[in-house]
Amino acid sequence: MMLQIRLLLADSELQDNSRVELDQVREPRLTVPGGGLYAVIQASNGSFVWESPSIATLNTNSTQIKTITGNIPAASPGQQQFYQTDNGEFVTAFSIVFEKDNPAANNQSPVLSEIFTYLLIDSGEDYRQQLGTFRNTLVIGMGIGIAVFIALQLLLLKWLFEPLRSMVRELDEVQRGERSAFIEKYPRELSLLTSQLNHFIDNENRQRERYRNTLSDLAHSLKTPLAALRSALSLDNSQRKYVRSNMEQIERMEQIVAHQLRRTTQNATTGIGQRSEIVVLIRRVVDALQKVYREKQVELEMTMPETCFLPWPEDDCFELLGNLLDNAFKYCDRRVSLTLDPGQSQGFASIIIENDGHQIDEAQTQRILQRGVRLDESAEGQGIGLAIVGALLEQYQGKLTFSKPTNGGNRLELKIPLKLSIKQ
Amino acid sequence: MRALIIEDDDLLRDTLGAILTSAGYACDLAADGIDGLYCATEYPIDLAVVDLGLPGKNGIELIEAVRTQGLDFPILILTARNDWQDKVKGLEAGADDYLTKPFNNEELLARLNALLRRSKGYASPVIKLGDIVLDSAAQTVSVNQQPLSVTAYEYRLLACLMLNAGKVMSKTVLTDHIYEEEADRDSNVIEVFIGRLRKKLADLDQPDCIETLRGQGYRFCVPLE
Repeated sequence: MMLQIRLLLADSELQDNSRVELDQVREPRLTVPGGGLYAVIQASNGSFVWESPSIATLNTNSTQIKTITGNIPAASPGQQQFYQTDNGEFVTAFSIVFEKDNPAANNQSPVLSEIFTYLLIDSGEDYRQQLGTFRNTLVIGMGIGIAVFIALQLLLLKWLFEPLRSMVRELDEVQRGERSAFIEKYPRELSLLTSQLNHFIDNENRQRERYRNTLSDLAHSLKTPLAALRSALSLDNSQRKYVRSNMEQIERMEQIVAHQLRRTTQNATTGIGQRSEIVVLIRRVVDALQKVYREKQVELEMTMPETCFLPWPEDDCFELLGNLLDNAFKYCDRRVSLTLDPGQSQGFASIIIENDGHQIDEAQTQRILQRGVRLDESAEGQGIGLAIVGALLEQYQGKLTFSKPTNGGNRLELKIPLKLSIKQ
Repeated sequence: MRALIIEDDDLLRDTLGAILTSAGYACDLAADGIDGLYCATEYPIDLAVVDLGLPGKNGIELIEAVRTQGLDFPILILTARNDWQDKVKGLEAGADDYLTKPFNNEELLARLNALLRRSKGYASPVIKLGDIVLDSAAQTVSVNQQPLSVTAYEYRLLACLMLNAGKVMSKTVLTDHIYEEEADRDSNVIEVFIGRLRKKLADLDQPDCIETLRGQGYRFCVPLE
């Protein structure tokens, strides 16, 4: 604004020792009515000796100028003053001394002069507009910047946590039996953990295998001599009392071996990271049983999906299905039915096996299914198979319910989780 | 009928041999899978009892090899392991039934009789052809409900002829089916047994139902209903 005043000063000339006239007004805004920039030259007595053409539309008259300029305190010549009014106008004032012409003046005469004050008033609209634009730009810019920053942070976090998410995904697949180890590459900080987990899974599975093989071999080495003794004694009719006593001892030994084998099934570790296609296994077991029971000509009805996977190793699946279906075939009259529901949405598969045989005692069945029932307290035949089934279901967090349909026969329903959870 | 027993435990193998012999079978014994496969392929076996846990060649491999060679005699597997996976694999390999050790002798014989009958097309343990009734479970023969007293070898011979009724059985085949491999065989023994059977049947007023085909062998004639 001071530059504008200097331009006015440059074009100013004192006329008739009383008024200031300007040859030209260089600033175009001072010539445009309503341009937002106004200038007046005020004499020392307060009167306006010059007004810029733009004042014509400044709320129409000079009164407002007087209101504006009247609030400005007087200043010494050469002193620049800058004010902002309550209405937001910017005022720059600069006082200057003009020397008047005095023809009679001599060297001893005082110099006649008058102080004129140049006032430049800017309505401030441009300023405010620019300020508003600046503020908007700043807000928008900062908003965009913050949004970009947050987005980058989120991306960074997503990238940083991706290995953990991947690990959780793989762990879920291990629990479902869909994979047997963590195979993806992880950062150094996590790779130690996953390699330890893989080592643990491998150790558990190997130990389980060793355990079962050792006991199976033990059973074989015990049961074969027992079978030989039993058969040999059965052939020997020479001393009945002696034979009967030894047969009782042999039966007792057989029971102990079978009981210990069943206990090992209860205490065996769960196969981790393994799964079996149970539809295929059911068909294999059924085909085998149809062969064994061909004279019975069992009518079998099966309702199964195309595929269904359980998070069990194959040998445990065989034990479950073999014992259940063998009982169903053995104790049916003519009909056996099997229904398999994969239950993906419920999180557990359901197997229902029914037969039309003589209804067995539910209380006895429940007692056999309870953990820790001794073999010599349980019934032979169906009891042994159900006890193994009960132990397996407990191991793999499944449930079995037994019922007697009103139209006869027996019904067993199994619910088996599709994913093994970590036991507390 | 001729049975093959493949079991690595000496006592059990000998005991099984005694059980089946007393039940009227001619028994061949093998202690491992390799010997067992040889016996199965070289001798005219009517049925086999195979232990799954054999040294050399395990039971399942042996059964697969037997079936691959087109031998279809019934096989019953013995297993000490309660694993259903082993049982199913054995049945899939070609076995016809299983029995878990330890077992009852009676159950073993009943299952073997059932397998043998089924393989010959008989659904019942009792074979009735005309007035002659042979009960394979009780190992008795009767004619018009009168018991016919026969020796062990005569029973085996008559059972072999009746189970293959209508088929010509040569002397060699009959000899192979009623004698175990190590038996001391007389070349005329079949003729002697046939002669005795005919006499015993005639004593009970049963017409001669064993036909001699010169140069070929013998055939049990199926009576016309």
